[in-house]
Amino acid sequence: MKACAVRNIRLCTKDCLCLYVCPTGATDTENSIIDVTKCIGCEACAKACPSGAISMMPLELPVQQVKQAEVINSLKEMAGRKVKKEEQALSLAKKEEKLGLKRLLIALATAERFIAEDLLREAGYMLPQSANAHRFLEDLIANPPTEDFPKEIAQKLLELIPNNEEV
Amino acid sequence: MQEKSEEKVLSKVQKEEDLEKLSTGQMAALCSNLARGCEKQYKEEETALFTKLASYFSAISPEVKDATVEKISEELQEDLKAYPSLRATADAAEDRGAARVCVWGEKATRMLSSLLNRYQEEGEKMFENQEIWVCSICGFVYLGNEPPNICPVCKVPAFKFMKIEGGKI
Repeated sequence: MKACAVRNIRLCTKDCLCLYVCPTGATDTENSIIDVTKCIGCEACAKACPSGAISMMPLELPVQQVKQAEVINSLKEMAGRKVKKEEQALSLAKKEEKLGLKRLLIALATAERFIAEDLLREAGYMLPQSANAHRFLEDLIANPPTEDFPKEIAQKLLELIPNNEEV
Repeated sequence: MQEKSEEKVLSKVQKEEDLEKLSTGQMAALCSNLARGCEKQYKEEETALFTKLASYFSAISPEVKDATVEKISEELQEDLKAYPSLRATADAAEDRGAARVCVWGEKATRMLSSLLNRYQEEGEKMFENQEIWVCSICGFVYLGNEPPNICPVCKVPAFKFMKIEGGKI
């Protein structure tokens, strides 16, 4: 599988073995980010790093798990409950003057959004490369929710992200 | 026999027309989820674009006018009652990912519910010298000076917690 090396700066201990072994100089950058245009995916840096700070990100991902319609609908229903409370908490937080309650409401809205994201991830939207994600973007372009929907953003995403379920 | 059960599974697999339409709020969360999916793959431009779409959907979501703390508190209780049947659906389909999201979501929801109930009893003094932290992976909310070393729900380390700042929304 073709892959590209990525450095986790939180783990990097600057032993610089990646610089010693890299055949193309991809790891030697001033911003610590491995140069994707130079990396040939040979894994030499990942194997040499004493801190386990380099991993290999596959360039092509396998197709995500197929989900049953009943599971998808139940997960979406719960996600709907979660975003409803996110919206309620945010509208209350906007006008709340008591600072503690205001923070709690913002925390609640933030948490409900994260929970909703997780539910939708399991409802068939794990990968941006999935056919579901592509269908979602295509539907938005075909039936924009409002007149000022930024179609160009959806179009750009379809161009940038390959559909890994396309036959 | 084997063939028949496979057929049954296939007929239950996702078909476009069986799926419910999403609200603008759900679409916002769907886009911010896909932004995360891009971020994890170090795709900066794609992350920014999905984040913009998420903001668009949040902006067009209708303003909630009748929200109260009591109402949110009641709805959290309803979520807690709804999780077991979601879990049963996940288990019936042998969908471990969906079962996992039930475990995390139910625990995080229980914490939200208990914090809101506590606020209704104690008021502002419950926040004295306390920061509010949210786990950016599972939504677990924690009160304390520092975030927990490891999230008690999803087990990620402390740096995955975000601090909720005062006035900003």
